[in-house]
Amino acid sequence: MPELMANYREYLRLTHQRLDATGFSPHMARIYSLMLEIAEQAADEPEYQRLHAARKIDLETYRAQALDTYTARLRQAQDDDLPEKPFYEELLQKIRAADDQETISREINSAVNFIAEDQKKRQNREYHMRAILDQLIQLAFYSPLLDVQKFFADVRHSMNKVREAEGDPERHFRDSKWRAEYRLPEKLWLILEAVFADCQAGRMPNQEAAQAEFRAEYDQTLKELSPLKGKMREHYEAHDGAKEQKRSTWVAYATPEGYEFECVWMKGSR
Amino acid sequence: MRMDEGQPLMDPQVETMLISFRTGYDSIIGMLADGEAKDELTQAFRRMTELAEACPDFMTFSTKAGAENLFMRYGEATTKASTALQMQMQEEKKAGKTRKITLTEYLKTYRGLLDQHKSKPHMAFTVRMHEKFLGVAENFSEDDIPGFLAEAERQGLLLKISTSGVYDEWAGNLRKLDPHDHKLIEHYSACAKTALSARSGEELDYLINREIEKYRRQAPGDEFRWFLILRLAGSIQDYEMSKLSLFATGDFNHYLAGLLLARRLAKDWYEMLRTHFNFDWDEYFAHPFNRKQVINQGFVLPDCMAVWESWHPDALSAMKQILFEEILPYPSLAEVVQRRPAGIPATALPEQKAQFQIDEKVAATARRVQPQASLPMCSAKPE
Repeated sequence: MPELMANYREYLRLTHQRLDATGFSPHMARIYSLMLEIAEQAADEPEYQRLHAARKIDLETYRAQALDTYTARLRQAQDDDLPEKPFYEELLQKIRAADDQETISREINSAVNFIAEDQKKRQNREYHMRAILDQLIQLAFYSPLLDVQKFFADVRHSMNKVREAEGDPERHFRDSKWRAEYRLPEKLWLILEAVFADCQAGRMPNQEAAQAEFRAEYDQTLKELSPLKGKMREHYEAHDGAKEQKRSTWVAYATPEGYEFECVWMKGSR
Repeated sequence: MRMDEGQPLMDPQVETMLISFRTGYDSIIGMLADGEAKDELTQAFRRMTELAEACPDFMTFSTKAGAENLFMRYGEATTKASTALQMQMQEEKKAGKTRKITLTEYLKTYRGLLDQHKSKPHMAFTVRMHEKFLGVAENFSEDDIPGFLAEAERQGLLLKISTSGVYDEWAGNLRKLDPHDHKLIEHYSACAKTALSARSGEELDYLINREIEKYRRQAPGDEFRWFLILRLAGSIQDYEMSKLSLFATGDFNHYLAGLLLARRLAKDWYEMLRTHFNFDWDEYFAHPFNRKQVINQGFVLPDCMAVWESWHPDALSAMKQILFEEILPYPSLAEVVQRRPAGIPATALPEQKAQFQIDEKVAATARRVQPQASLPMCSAKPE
């Protein structure tokens, strides 16, 4: 059926044209070009099928699809400077060297599983590094009055978790890429770095002065407030949170300007 | 795939999943020769169907299927059957036994996919593209698959049936967002737009992954800043609660130290934010989305972040008054006692929630106001 072959050639030509133009599917574009070449040589469909089989087009199509898919992943990993870059490079080499579809499929499965495992470890590291950052910032600004020993233990615990996820907390903490993601001001990083060093060395901050100051504030407030117990009660009762307080629940919804609120229940309502 | 009349209907989520499995199953089983691979896939699919029909909801189905390791078994059976089919086809080709498939047979998988997409309201563009694609076939004879493919390619439909689903997913997720969540809206819109402009699956994969990575890198900085501001709001609340407890009971031993500590922490935290992040309360909370973040008590409707249960709308201004009048100037508490209290409005207690069926009232109100909520639309529209 010459008409069917002509239609087929047209389909191959159009697909090749589209894929070639994207720049993202060079291997598949080449396969379509090759199939078009075969289709142009063949007088009829059986001859096309024979040439198709002789050139191992099925295997090469499978390989080309895999190469395009993982070349795009590698390109993204390179452009975004991601750690999976070498894994994709290695996978592409294996896809090129494979002799059959089963081998290609096996190599892809194994690489994809490995990359997923690696990403999971990275997420774990990130989660615990973030916990460290949170603990450090609290230590940096609250430390005079905190249970510092507990916080130090928490930081050490998080550091161990990072190590369990095959990371190095010290190196990660100083990693400029990681720090850039948090966009914290440089001066704040310097403060956090100092606290991090104290944690690692187990150096406790001197809390004596702050605690003495706090104690003095406590004593002074106690002295001032004691005669005002009655006033305190009065103050409390004047507050919405006293016996007659109006507890309420609301539902809000977005409007182009902001949000509208609707009271659903208020103390005293059914 | 609904049960017979008089019997309970299958859970919609389970049904959608089963349609998806059936599409894959149908595309293999009809062509695969009898043998171990075919038997294993048939058994796994039969078990999946039995379980889907027997389970009242997705959670039960998922738990039972997980306990039987059914998902993995089905996945392995599918891989084995696909490989067997490929080898079978190669053998047939070598032996010159290839049977030409008809256009109807070729389109069977696409018809299955169309049924699957039709069950999801947000997949309108995908449904339209599949219908258009299948519509093209009506002009071709059963043996003219090449003619059909050439015309589908000419109309750009071979690409669109693969990328339209990606567009619908991102545009659908966008519609669930709060219209004031500009960063997420920008991210989802960029992904949806990419799905419309990509010229191949690989280009789409590359561009979307880059957009996701760009958002992922921006997120820690934003989230951490937000987390620090939430700490400030939390300290102000701690101060207020300790103060109320102390004033209500007069129990200095229990509450005074906590009160002074909370006040000190709130002050230090605010100073840290101001010094290191140039934080300005009025400027930050001038944005409605930032205000919402503090008084949001949770989302009520599934898949809708434009409607939510809220704290009293005045809660934030009360917190500001406490911060700027009782915490930052650091007046003595004896002086605070003499002042008119700001008072952060309180929410219902758990026992009140149960007694007055508040959760049910919240859900009913949310459903009623939802049509008035403005939802973000995707700026990039398919033709």
